[in-house]
Amino acid sequence: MIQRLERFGHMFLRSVLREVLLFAAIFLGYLIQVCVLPNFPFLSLQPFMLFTVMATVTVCYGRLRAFWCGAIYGILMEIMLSTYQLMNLLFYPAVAMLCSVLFADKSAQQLEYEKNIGKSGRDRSPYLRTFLCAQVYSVFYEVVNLAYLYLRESLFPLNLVLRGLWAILLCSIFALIVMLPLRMFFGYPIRRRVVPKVVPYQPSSTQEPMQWSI
Amino acid sequence: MQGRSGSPSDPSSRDSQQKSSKEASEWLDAARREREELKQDNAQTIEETLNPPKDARSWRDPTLDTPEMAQARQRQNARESRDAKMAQSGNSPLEPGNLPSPELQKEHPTFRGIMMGIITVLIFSMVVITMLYKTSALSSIPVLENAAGDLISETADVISPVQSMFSDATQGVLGFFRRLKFLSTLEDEYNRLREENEQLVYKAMLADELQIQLGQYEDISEEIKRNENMLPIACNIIGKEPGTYFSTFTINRGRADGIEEYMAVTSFGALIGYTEQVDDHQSMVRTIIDSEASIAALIQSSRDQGTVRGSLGVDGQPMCRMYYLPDDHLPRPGDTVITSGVSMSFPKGIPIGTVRESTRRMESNKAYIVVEPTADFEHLEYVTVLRYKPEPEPIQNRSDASIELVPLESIRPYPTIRIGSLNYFDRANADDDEAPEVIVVAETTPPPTPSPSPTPQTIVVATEDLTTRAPSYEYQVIQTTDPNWTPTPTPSPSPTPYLTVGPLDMQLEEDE
Repeated sequence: MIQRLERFGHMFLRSVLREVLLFAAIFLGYLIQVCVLPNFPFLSLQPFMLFTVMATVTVCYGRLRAFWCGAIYGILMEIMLSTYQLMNLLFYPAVAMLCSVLFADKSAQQLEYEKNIGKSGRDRSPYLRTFLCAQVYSVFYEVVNLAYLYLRESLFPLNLVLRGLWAILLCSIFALIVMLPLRMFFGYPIRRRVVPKVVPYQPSSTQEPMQWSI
Repeated sequence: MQGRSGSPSDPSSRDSQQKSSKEASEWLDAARREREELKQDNAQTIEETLNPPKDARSWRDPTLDTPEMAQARQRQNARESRDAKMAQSGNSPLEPGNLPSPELQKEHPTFRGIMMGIITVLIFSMVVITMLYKTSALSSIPVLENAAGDLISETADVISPVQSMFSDATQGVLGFFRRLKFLSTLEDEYNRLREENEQLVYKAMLADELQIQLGQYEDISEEIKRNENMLPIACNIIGKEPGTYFSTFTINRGRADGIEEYMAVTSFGALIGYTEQVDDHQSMVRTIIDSEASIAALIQSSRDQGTVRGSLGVDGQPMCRMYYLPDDHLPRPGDTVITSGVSMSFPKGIPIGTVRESTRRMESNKAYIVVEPTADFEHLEYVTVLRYKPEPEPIQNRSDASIELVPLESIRPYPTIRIGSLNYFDRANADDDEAPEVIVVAETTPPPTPSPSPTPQTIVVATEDLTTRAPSYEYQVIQTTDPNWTPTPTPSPSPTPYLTVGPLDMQLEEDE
């Protein structure tokens, strides 16, 4: 019982810590975006820390946390740095939900199903998924902005399109660099427990060790 | 696993999950122990491989197995057999990619689910409230609108101080690095600023110099405009006589520019000297303070004429002395001395200097007054040469031997005395028919030299033949060509100051 309680407390604290780290990273990402990055412009552009955090959270935590991250960023940007009305509030959560469908970890059932139909049955590399997710976020952002400008001003200048492409490239490179320490901050790569896939094997008296992966 | 197909709420699946988790933990402990043993076996094997005993045979020789080696071999065989069994049963060995997702490792799903739900609901409601407030959808319900506004404002109030603190910290760190960068470039910046300062100082000096030159050029330009009728030309002094007893200098203009000898040289309206030796492109000027110079001048107030000479070669003083003044009175200190235009080609009226002191003469040839020149001879840079040269008038009827002396014009009638006349007082015996003829003729003698001071033209009136008529006093009014002409008033000399003492002002004074 005591061991159970201890383990319960240990697990609970671990879960709480993970959530606390998540919210801390979200808020820290917002502060870095609005306070630090404006002082480091590159070609009059600044990288998007928000998209990097959202992409990392999407890959590391899943769809629900991705929605949390997008919603919190939408609320913060709408309250503190509103440009177009409701644009931030609607854009960030919606895009987070959309990209989480594409880039979040697949469920066990889905992996099993893919394996049964002859596919690999594995998730792609989390680093690749994080990089692509950040790119898709920035692409959506630039497209939405250009569409808004076109609908409002009836303008579609080519220099703004080029500027958008430069912003996407800059965001991708920034995500490639920042996602590594961010994943380490979240505790990834994580040590996983060994869970046998098949019917438990009756161990022999010598208690042979099983293969495990770290 | 069996538990994977059931729903989390199924008790049987829950029990199986718990059982499998327990077994998994036990196997993990066993795996850890086995790993430690393998490490020991490997270390022993490596040691024996690197440092085999002298009588060692191959480690595969079962007869040489120690008890530990025998156990390790037994474990290895067990592993191989187990893998073979698993392969036969169609189940692949556990590999990293085949491990289930961490979702199944989570414990206490109910509690976790409740927390997730609460947080999700809170965040979603915050999104909805913000959206409704921004779109003014709550305007129909003021209570809700106020509550939403308060919530949003409080959120902003909480975030703003944190954001400002973070921003201040960021600016502090950036400022620190900027200072470091600044310090690293301090030496280069200092050198650059020093060079720039030197250039600016040079430019400032150049600007001051140009400003002074501009002022001088403006003065020269005004002087030239003022004396335009005297054909002035500005010149630069290109050389000075270094001696102390002579004062001459060279200017950069010469005969090619219309300059000739004995032309007046001025500076800021005051007489400097005159050109003495003129070449094609340069000229030598002798100043008025040179003792070799001699210029006709007059006192402006008294119109007493004299000669001004320099005193540099006499007593070494850069002054002038005016000689040959009349003995009846001497000028006062402060009187202006100007050129008289009598000698050379000097225009009349150029200031030379002011009377400084006068000497009571012992002998008339030693009487002089000291004139302080108006010009500054120590700071000469630019001078003006007055290329004034009077044009000689043609002499007409020069061969006529009967030269008649005629008086000058005067507004006052004067009697005309005829030479050779016997009857000076018998006016009645004069023939009435023989009225004097007044003939107005043209100029028969060359007029006086025109000078800058305007003077009216005079008409010479010739009278009749004096030998035929009886002498009589005749008053003739001379007519001038300019009916509006008024004579220049003769300047009265300034009275010589003297002390007038009346008899009543005198008193007897006894010698002590």
